[in-house]
Amino acid sequence: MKSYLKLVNFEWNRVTRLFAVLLGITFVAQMIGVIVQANKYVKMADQSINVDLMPKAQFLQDFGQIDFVRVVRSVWFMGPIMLCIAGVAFYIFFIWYRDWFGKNTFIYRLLMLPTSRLNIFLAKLTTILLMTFGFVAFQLMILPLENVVFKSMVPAEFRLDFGTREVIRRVPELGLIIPSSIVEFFLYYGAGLMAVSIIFAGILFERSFKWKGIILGAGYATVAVFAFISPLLLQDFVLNGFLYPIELLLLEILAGLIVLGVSIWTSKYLLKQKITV
Amino acid sequence: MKKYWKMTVTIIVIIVSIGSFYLTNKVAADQNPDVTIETTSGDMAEIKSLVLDGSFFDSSSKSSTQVKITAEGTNRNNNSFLNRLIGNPPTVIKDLRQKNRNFMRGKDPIENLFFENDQFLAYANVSYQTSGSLQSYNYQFDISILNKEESKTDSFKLQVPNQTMVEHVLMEDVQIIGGELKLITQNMTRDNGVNNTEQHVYTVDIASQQISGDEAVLKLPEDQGDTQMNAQLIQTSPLQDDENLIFMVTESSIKKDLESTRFESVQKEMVTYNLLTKETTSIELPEDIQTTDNQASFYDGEMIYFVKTEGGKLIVTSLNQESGKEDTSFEIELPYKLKDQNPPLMTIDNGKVYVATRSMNQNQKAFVVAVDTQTGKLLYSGELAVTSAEEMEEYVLYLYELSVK
Amino acid sequence: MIEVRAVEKKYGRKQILKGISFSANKGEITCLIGINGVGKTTILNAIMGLTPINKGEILIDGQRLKEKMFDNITFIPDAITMLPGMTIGQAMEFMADFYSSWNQERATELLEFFRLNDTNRISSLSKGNAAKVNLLLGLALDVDYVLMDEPFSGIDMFSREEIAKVFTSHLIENRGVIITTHEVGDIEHLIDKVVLMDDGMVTKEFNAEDAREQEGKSVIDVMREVYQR
Repeated sequence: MKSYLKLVNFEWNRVTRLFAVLLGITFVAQMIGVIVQANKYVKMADQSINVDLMPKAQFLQDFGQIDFVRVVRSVWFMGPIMLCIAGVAFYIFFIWYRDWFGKNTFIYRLLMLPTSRLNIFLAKLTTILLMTFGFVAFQLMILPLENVVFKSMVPAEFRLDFGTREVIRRVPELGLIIPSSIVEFFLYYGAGLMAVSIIFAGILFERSFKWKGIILGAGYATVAVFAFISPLLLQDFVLNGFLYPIELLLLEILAGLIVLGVSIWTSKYLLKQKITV
Repeated sequence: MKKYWKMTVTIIVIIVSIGSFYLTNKVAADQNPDVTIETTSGDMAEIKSLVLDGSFFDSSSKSSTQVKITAEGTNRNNNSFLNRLIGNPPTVIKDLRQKNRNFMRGKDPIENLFFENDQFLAYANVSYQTSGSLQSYNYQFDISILNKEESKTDSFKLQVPNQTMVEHVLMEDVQIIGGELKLITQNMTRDNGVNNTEQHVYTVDIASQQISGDEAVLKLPEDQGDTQMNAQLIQTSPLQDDENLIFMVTESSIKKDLESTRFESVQKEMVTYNLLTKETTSIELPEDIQTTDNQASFYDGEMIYFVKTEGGKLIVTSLNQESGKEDTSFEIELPYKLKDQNPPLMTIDNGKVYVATRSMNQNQKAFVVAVDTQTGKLLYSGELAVTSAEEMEEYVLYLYELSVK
Repeated sequence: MIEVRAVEKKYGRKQILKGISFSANKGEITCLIGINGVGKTTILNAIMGLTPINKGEILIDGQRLKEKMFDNITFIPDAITMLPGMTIGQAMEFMADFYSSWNQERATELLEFFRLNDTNRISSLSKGNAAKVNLLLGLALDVDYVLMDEPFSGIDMFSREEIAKVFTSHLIENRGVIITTHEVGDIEHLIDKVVLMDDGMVTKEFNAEDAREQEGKSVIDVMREVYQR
């Protein structure tokens, strides 16, 4: 446990720079987005009302009030989120391959630590999780802040105010990374964790058996995904809706846990018996 | 410990930020509004077995909540993931699922496909597969019968007879009467290039699991020009023995005006079929029932009721099924105004007709009334009221089911 | 004692090790000698569980390798195994953090001996200094067995001398050491036991001292005999 925590800390320190850069980009880009979108609207209102002498009520009827959802839907806002997702996706692979890269192959050191090699695997998995949750937490923190900036830029009569929750509810894309209920949060990210564990096992297949390992890894991933969705397939094609939805959910959770467990076990075996530096 | 500061800070931020988001989320969900029925006249006991199912939509937060409104108050079912997953089947189905969890597995949640009496719980549906060429389907009855005494379930499939003629089969009702299972279907058939719609009653021998009878109760000709024939089975509760099937046969013609094309009924006829004697009887309907659309019909095994609302009036006509004679008819002024094009929710149970509006919002109230079907006396009237912890600017309450427990 | 028993290893179709057997005792320096590509590094990797073997077994004090044993056996590969962004100090801190057998006193001693500055970044070190740090990180562990892969290759003469000095010091005393080399010259006088390898097999295993005393042959003489036969 202690070496696991040490390893998590170590892995986390290795990624903090990338993490901080992505947080910085997100914050700056989203703030610019708020300012750009709000400004555009205020300018348009100014032009219509003060130059074209359109009555205010007429303007509001024609163009509508602006709300924060419009800001969120802009590329300034969604772009950095996509970038962070891409960053995590990239790092899922890089977290392993960086240890094999270059002359100073750090994997020697990691594999020679007097602790279970499984801890290396778990520490890397935890780091991906921390990174993901870190982005989510950061987005949840800056959303209200951005909302405040937005409110300070647009006069009250021209805007429709939403809280963080309403904004998320109105933008389904955002709801994918910040689900509306805690149950879904655990289900989504649990499935994500399982997916990462499958990819990790695939990477370790590749690292253990090289070219043959790519085929083995892809094969493993296919079997794992199939195992995970097998309750759904059974329900639709064999059982003809025999299971109640809640039972199907429980079976899915069970299938997910099994796949996660098998992926961890497989990775442990590969790290212990088959890995090559 | 200094070494761990980055990780420590990250974990704390994650827990606090995400944790507080979902914690306040839960608080917000608990502040959903209550919907109550407030009596304006009569005794609330009159509606004590009435259940209104609906969904409450708060426009400002865009959140919707499933509500079950009874005389006692609201039962909320928020729009959480699990509730969405479980779904919201009709009350009858919910009760059946609660009592017969295993029997109800994989069965379509449609009331008419079920029948229940003291001895049996039965289900039947039509299934089909494409086999080879596109036109030929293999139509089958999927039947499950639960014998309550032996708590034994028999499930079997039976071929629909005359496959070659069948274009489509629709299960309309299931009955068990005289120890036999009766499947009431609407069949679209094609015979020598002529399309027909037929109402069939298939008799299934429960012991041998064979089809022992096939009666075509009604045969409606193909649409001709502007006229169209259509037969509708007046549904009863699945929890009720019905010796008689009642079909409303409507002949309607196409009315075209500038804006739309619609069907208007020209003639209505009622046909009853006795499941035991296999006799078919025609009943002539009173003039005013013949010519009106937009009315609901109910059958309680003895009386057939026609209920409609017109200009704020509730008009109820009842016929005795056996004699085919008009029994009682009355009009009663409702204490509320209604729009004719949007008929309210109505049901008849145990000598009472219940009426409820389909929706309410901040400007328009919804009401519930109960009227005695014999005397036409207003037994109860009440308004729905929304009480909420927070001030709500805009909301809509949709009611979609009115049932009696 | 480290025992390597009939170890076979394939890379794809190519058989690198064709049934290697030898042993290395505690308190002795065993030298694996052979030309490049003969499988010396592969053996060390296999002993450390860094690459799987196809056949045979490797025992350390009679046991198969377990992860806990890394507190008792260490491997110094031919390139440094620390993150390039770390300073020497941070690398030592890392070792101290994870190894219970880390001996800080000895690490400081080595740091002074090699005249290294612990604030220097590993990526900025010269080849010789990097090799010294590599050696430091391995030798500062209180372990019974030390495996070294080509500790002298590609290093300037002065560094080589300094490193060679380490071998005669108390830092090596009482430990079992396996080192590989393709040129035996620098360390001939240091080694106790020689394992000659060719084409994935052990061609001769002999005691250097015995050869010198009983047959009057140097290691190089024996090698000449074996390879030119």
